[in-house]
Amino acid sequence: MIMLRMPGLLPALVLALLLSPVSAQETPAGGPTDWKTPASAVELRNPYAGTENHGLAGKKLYQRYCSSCHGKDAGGAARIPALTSDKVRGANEGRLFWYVRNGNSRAGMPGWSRLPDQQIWQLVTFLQMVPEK
Amino acid sequence: MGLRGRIPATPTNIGISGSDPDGTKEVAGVSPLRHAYAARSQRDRKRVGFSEPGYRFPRSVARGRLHASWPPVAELVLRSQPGERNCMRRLSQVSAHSTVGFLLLLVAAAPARGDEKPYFVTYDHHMEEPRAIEFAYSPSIGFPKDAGKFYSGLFEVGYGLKSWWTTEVYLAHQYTWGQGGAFTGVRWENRFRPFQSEHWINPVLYVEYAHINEADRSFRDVVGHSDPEELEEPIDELKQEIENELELKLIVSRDHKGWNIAGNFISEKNLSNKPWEFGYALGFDRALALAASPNPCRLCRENFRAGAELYGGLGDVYAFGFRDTAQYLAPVLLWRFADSMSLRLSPTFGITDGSVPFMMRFSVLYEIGNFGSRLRSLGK
Repeated sequence: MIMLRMPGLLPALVLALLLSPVSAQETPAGGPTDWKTPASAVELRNPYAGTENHGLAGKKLYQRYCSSCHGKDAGGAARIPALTSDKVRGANEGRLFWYVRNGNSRAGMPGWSRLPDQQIWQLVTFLQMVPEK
Repeated sequence: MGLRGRIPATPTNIGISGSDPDGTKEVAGVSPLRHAYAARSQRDRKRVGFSEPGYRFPRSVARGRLHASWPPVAELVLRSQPGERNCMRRLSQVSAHSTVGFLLLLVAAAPARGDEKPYFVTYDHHMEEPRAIEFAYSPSIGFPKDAGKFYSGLFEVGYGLKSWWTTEVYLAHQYTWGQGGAFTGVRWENRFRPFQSEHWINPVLYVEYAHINEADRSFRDVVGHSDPEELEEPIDELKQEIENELELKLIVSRDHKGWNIAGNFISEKNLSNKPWEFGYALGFDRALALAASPNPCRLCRENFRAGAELYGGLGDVYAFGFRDTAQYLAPVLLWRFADSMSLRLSPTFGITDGSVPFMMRFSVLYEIGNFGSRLRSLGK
């Protein structure tokens, strides 16, 4: 009954929810060199390393899942790091895999464990093949 | 939806009670309990001012069109004069059109993608990505054993406030064949993920406030004991019984080799002095292909996820367990038919006497990534 007696309350709540992102920005991600990954991650090996087909599949996955934040050309945005730098392209593949899978909620990077490991490796393959800018 | 023990009433025995407002006389063919309930309903109608003889709901309201727009608007329309009613209806249409126009503009302007959750009831530990907004509409058609079939619709807007905090608002309506429709309420849920990276098992805490009426058939979860006769009650009676509920869930979930396994423990409290009720939901699903193909495709296996859900009530604080509860088993299928959109499908089978024997559930989801930043850049 509260909502029925206060007709403005519900629209106000919805509006507040929609506008809250303006002030609810995450701390900008520090970039790949700031990753804290377990030592064991370095030992993970990419089964698709250097495979063009899997790189293309990774590109498709990148456009689907990552481009809305990191940009269509992986060039990043104001508060979101570019993925075209040497730091990413030259990063250890195991650490890259671990970081994509687990994310870093403090830095605003979501984990992508919902994707099968194979698709995360395809993403890693693509990220290591992205031309430098 | 919590099914609680209440006395069912039908339009027929409500009519009978009109000649016996105290509900003390026994009427042939009607049980005293039903008679008493009908009398109570009559009193309730008087309280809300709809008891005048010959009172008729406007046809559009009886069909549920206005109730589906906004409860205060519908209430105002009910109490207004015919001239004002047209004006209010026009206002409501204009506002609905502008909202749809705004949403279409956003949809056209922003890259988007469909979500990956195949479940209808079970939650996994995956949150909305930060600053991503998701729209979903989930219709269900239910076929109860001894009552009219119903159509229920749930509109959902979800937003990733932080990578560890997702908030969602739901608006629900339902239509029962032969009785009409009603707006059935609003829910506001918040999910919090306490640990940032993946663990062997990943917990998420869930808090929801619901302002709904008893006509709600959205089946977002099932708690407490079941009362199949509740489905026989007329929708006009049910929609006048407003409930304010607090719902808490503990969600645990794990991804392993392409599979997701999730379990939810649900506790729900009607804030008007009712006991805590409990329920559960279990689910598992898997992508039909683990690696993606290099070519764009709609029907390739990587775009499908399939699995199953099992959910039901667990009684209340006074009688915890499976006795007299509704239980459901439901295969689930998700198809991401475009980068921007997903379709979910779930034939749902009631496996106890207290359940609706069969429901067909659908859902269309649309998600816009990084919506918050785009909204902010529009303002600059």
